[in-house]
Amino acid sequence: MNIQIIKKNDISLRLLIEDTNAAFMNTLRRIVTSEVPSMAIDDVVIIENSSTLQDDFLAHRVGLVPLKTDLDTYNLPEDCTCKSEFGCNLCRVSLALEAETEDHTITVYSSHFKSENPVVVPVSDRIPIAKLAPSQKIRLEAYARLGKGKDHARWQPVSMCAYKYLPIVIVNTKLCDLCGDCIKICPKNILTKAGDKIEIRNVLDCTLCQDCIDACKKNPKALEVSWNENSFIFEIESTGVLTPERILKGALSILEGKLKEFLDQLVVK
Amino acid sequence: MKIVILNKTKNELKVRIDGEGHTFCNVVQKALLKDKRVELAGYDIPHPLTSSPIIYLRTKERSNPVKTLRDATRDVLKDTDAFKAALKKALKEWKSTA
Amino acid sequence: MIVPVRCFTCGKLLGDKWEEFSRRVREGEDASKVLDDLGINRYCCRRMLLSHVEIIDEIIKFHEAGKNLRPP
Repeated sequence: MNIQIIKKNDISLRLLIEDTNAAFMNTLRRIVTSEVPSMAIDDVVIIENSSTLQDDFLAHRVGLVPLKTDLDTYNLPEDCTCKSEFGCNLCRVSLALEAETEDHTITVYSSHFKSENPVVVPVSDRIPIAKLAPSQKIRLEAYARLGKGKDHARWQPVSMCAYKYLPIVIVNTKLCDLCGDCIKICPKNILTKAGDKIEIRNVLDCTLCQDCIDACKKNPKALEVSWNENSFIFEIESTGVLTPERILKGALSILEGKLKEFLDQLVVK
Repeated sequence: MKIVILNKTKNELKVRIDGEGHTFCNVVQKALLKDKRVELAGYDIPHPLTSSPIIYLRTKERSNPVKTLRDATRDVLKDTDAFKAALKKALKEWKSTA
Repeated sequence: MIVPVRCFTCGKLLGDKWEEFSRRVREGEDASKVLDDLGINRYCCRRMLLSHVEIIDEIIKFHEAGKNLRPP
C-alpha cells in the first residue's frame, strides 16, 4: 500500500492511495463519519434568557458549535470509570455563556463562551449565537461531552469525507482531429489544447462522467476514460475540531480495535 | 461487539455479530472472498434497525471455517497496519518538502 | 432568523462567514466571487449563505413589546 499526499492544510487532506480495495476505503469513510469521537455541547442549563430566541432554539445553536477536541485527555461518557450520569472532569467540560447589553443591540459570539478547560473552546470566535436588544440578557451553563457522529450530527468531526477511483484518461493522438469538442464539454476543464495535440491538465479532478467520450465525433473514439480499481483518491475536510490526520489515525485505531475484538471472541475449538 | 456462533459444521460457519454493521462486515467479506479456501462468503443484515448482521461462510474440503475467518480478519488487520505506516511515511515526506 | 451555525447538508461551519459575506455583497461585490474567497465550494454550503435572510434584525426592533412580560 502506497500513500501520497496531494493536498494538505489545517482542515483538509487529499490522499492518493494505491494497492487497496473499495471495501477498505468505504469502511474507513464510514468510521470517519460516524465513529470517530469529537467534543460538542450536550446539556444546556438555561438560567436566564430574555432574548428574542426561544430557549430550545438557543440550546440547539449552542450544541452545534464545534469545539476543539482533545481525544487523549477525555473519555467517552459510556467508557468513563466514574459511571455517573452527570459526568466527572474526565468525561465532561463545562462552558458558561453570559451576555447582556444596556443601550445598543449586540451580537453574542462564540468568543463569549468561558470554558473550564482553555483547550476545549469553539473552533471559531466569530460564530453568532444570538442577538440581544437593550435590557435583554442570556445566562446559561453548557456541558460538553465526547460523542460519536452516529448519535448526533454535531459530533461528526468532518464536513466531507469521500473517495473515488483514480481516473485514467488517454488521448489517442492518431485518431484525434483536434476539433476541441471534448475540451468545451468537460465540466472540470481537464483537457486543454497544447500546440498540435490535446493534453490532460489535471487528471485527478476527473469525475469519470465520460461526457468527453460522448462529445467526440470520431468512430472509434479518440479518447479513452477508465479507472484503476485498486487506486483511490480519498479526501477529508474536517470541521476544525480535529486535524484531518488525527481523524484518520483515530479511524484506523477504531478499525483495529474492532478487528482485534473479533479475533478475541472468535476462538478455534 | 458480541459474537454468537449460530451454526458450525465441518465446512460451514454462521456467526451473528451484535453491535456492528456494514462497516465491519463488508471488509471481512471482501477479505474472505480473496481467500482460495473459501467457496461461499457473505453477510446479511436481517433488519436495519437492530444491528445484528450474520456472516455466512462455506469453505472447500478440509479447510476449517473458523480458522479461515480468523485469517481473513488478520489480513484486514495487516491492511490497517500498512495504511498506518504508509500514512506516517507520506506525512513525513510532506513535512520535509514543505 | 439568525444565520445557521452549520450547513444543513454537510455540516461545514458557516456561521462565522455570514458577516463578511453580507457586508461584501452589500458593498456591490459579486456573491459568487465572495463565496469562492471564503472557501465555500460545495453548492450545499453556498446556498446556505446565498439564500439566507437575517430576519432577527427586523424582529429585534420589537423588543420593547415584551418588556412588561419579563420577570422583574
